[in-house]
Amino acid sequence: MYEEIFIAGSGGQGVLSLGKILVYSAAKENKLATYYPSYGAEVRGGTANCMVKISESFIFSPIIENPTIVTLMNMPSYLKFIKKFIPQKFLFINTSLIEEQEEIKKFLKHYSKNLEIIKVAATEIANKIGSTVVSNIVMLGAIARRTEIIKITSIKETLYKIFSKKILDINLKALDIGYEI
Amino acid sequence: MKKVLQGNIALCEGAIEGGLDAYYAYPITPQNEISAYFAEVLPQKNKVFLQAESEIAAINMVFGTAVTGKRAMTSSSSPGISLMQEGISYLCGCELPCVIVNVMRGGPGLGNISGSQQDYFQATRGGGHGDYHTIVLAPFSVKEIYEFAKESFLLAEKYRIPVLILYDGYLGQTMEIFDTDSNEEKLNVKIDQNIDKSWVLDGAKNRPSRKIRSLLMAEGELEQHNLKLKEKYTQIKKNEIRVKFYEIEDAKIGLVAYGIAARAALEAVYKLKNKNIKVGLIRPQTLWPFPYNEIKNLSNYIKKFLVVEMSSLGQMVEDVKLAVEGNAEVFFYGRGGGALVSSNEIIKKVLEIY
Repeated sequence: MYEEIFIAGSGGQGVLSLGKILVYSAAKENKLATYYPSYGAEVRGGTANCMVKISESFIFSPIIENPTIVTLMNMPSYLKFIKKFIPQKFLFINTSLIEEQEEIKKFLKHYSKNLEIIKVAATEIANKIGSTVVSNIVMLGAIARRTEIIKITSIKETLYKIFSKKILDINLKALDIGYEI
Repeated sequence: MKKVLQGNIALCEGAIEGGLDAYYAYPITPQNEISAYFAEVLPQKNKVFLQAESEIAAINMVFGTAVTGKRAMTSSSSPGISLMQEGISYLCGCELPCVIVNVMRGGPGLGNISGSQQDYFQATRGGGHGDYHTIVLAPFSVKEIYEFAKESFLLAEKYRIPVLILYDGYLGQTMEIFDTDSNEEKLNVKIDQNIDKSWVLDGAKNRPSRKIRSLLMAEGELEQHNLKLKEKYTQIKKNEIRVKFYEIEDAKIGLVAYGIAARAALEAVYKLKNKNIKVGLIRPQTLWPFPYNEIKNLSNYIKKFLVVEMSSLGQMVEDVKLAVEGNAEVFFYGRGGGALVSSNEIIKKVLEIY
């Protein structure tokens, strides 16, 4: 396997955490992975993004050139990144915050013939179960199910390790709901 | 043991494993994770963490610790390293072992906060005033950052010399999975005898006093000192060159790259191999001493070299030209200002000259 994953959203939506959880979980499956975040010059309310590569053999550059999976969590990142990082296999869209544009739909049809677009109302689901901040984990559940790049059991192991007891349950719940979508 | 770490944090863990006693620095992106980590961890281990008021203060704090024989380190990014040059020259003049880390960003001036490889000249040519060198290590993965940091103090003490660890902001920010048990990507510094500590200033009770200084005013004294340093650098060149070769045996073009640019270059090598285009990679792990002879020997059958750097002007390319001594053509591809070279760009350049 060799996957290039691009994840973007606004600062505070947990897009960097989402990328890191993928890498920690890949380590549990004896895969190799790299993670590269956008850093430093990002501003509040702007976009944040990270690049994850997962493979069974040595990964060369951590920087993504041809993403297989793209996850977009808000409208500014949808508009800013979709034409720069055209997914070849899967596109995950947080439909709570993204209104799809006809022009972009046409663009994707033209440049990515076999693309599967998965729409997840991640923010709404997160709000329903009690906290808007777990929208990233809802999305992670959906990614794990549809792409099969990482087992959900590995992700759960990671969540147990990185989250305190206080917030673990809601994250596990978010993951399960995302996985069932 | 399996670790999942960001490059900058791997540096910290490697340095602690290597016996770090004291760390001094002034903040600058893209290496602030180093200070943040040490601020938390070093006091717990009864080691020294001190945020200096400037880079100039930080390098002189390193000096103050190094004269006592303790293991001191500082880190910064390009503009901050420029500020430290006077102190580095003094450290070299006084032959003090220490570790200095430059997580390079774009320049000149304040530049930007993205990764770059634009400080090659500064790192390998001395950077400060006077005849001197520092050993320059150029890791290309998070694992190598960890291993080089771990062995850097040993290397510094073996020769009483500052060791500069040089990598770019991209690698500093990258998180990777690696195994500390694997022997790959280690420097394997060899120590034949006990490291001489007879110069250390640790209190002159019951022994004659010692002096450590770089001001040598007596007739001929400084020239003798320069010659002593020269002999030391000759020994380092003999013993400590580290370089990796990939797919070089039947290569028609030899790529030369270090750090993260070498990873893009390596990707290009294997992509081209699939198309039966024979390209190899030479990756110096030490930038000073530079593998001149190793590259010269390759120029007996490789007649074209392509140097890939994250620099617009090209800096290491001059060393490759010196190495081949006109025996092969040397081409350059590079991007500066914080831009990253990609494997596809390298492939395009290779096909132009193949």
